[in-house]
Amino acid sequence: MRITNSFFNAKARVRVPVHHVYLMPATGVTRIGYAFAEFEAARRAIKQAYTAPNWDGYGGLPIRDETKKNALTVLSHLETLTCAPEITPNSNGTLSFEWETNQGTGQLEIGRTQYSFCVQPHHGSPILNSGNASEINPGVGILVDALLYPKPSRPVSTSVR
Amino acid sequence: MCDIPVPIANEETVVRALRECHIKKGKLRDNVFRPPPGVDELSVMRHTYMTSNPCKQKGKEIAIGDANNAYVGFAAITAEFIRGEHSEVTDSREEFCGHAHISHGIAPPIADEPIDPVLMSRLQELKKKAKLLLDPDPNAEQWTGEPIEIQQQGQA
Repeated sequence: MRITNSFFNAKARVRVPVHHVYLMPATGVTRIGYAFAEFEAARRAIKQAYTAPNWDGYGGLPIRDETKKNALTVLSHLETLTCAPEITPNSNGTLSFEWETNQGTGQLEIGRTQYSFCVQPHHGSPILNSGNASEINPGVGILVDALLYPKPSRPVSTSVR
Repeated sequence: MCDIPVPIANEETVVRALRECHIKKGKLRDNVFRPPPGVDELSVMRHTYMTSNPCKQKGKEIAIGDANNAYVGFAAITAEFIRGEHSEVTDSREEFCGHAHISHGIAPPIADEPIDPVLMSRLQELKKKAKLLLDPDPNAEQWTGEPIEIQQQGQA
């Protein structure tokens, strides 16, 4: 299913729940601490992405500064919306943000002027979108979070007399 | 002289020789069936006819001279799965006997810009259907890993 940006605009108005801070049992690091570290790693991967031609042995094009700048901007928007992606360079000089969970996969590819997006839940149709790299809608992050990182439903409590 | 049939039957298994850039954390990456910039053609080998050892020799030959991106194994998929995703696989024996091309029929990647999201979705589906076969001994001349040929449903 290819969707328009007006769909994203409608989605983006949905209030994003604030993530609760809690202690991770194994290390004592907060969830927000983990998220910060993962986003920092992603930022480093973007900054260090290949700048030399033929970096992959298949004639890969270098990742240009404009592409890196677009990717860093998008990453900072995503930070409040969903989990950190894995960053992968592509042979045509673009950068891919990849998410994979047991719910499905998501990919956001960023170029010098354009982006493409696809989230593919295991159950349901893929959702596709593309547009101007400088105007990536936060709906992308909201969709990734909703479809790939569903939150457990909260227990309902009622008072019994 | 290449005496294998030109048409590729649905039940044929074709393989993509993998290099380190196609693998992440022991899994196939989304780029495994991604065509190179400007070309809607992706090289594969007709394993059903070439068999495992010659495929491995070709895979190593292609990767030779690039120590940073070595041959690591194969992604195997049937022609039926490829066509099921509306891509096509055709013989291209002008490269060598047993060589074939996968074409997606969608604009291939261009420099510095992302691929069409329809192609992105297709590449993810093909990756899911492909069987990853990491070579347990890439330096050996012979293929020593698990059987590569994909058995169709109903076959032994």
